Amino acid sequence: MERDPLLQKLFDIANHDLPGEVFLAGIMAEIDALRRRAIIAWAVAGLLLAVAAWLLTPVMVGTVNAMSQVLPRSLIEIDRPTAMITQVLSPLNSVAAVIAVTVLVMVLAYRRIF
Amino acid sequence: MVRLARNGDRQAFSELVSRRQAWIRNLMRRNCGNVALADDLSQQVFLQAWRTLPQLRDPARFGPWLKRLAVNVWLQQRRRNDPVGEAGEIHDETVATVDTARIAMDLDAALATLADDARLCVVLAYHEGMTHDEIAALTDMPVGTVKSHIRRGTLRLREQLAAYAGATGETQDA
Repeated sequence: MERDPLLQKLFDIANHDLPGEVFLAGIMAEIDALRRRAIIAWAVAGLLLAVAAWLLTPVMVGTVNAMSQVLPRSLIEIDRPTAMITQVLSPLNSVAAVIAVTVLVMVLAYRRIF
Repeated sequence: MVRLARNGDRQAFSELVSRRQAWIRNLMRRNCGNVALADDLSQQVFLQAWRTLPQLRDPARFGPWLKRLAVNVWLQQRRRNDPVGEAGEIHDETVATVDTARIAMDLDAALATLADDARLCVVLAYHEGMTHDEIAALTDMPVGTVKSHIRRGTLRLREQLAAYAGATGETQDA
């Protein structure tokens, strides 16, 4: 690539060294401010998370307990729990299985329709 | 040094800024022709460099990477179309000789008469010594457009700065 010698010379002259103490100090001050802001943001986020956990833990524990009692409940009571057919169908004979199958059917239907 | 800075070493980054600040600030001055705005933009470049340095895989590519950041910051500034007058207070701490300062001012004034794209191409060609292909890759302009911008820009600058012919010893060098 051919460059005009006069322009190249003028660019070289204009490209002089610039003392950078003030410039550098400004950047480092800004970086320190960024770090401080990041630390404060993390501290606030951690505090909010702790408060949220403290407030929501009883509700969440209650919900999990209720679900753990309801989900495995049998839909149909069978007289002979030791029979082979009962054993084979037992994974499907529960509230959890009905919910899982319902969700699966809805997902498949959604994919089929849209 | 780049490796240390990439790992969050403040002192190492400070040293990197110290070594590269004149280059980036001069590049910005040639592009925008305003000392205060150029320094504001240069500061943005280095702050962005600090934030994104961990993403730089090859420390040896720090120079080209920084140049790309600088050009992107300048292109973003142009897209925002911020008025130059809104830049902060001028802190021109240059200790260059009067002649050098005058040449820089005249050069910046002549560059200011070029269209934005043409000015960017000319600055990258003369200030950075980049080839047409490199400029095209960096700015996402077609190579033909880059060539055209540089050719026309050179002619225009040459006309405006004709008074310097001879004064800089060009005739002996050419």
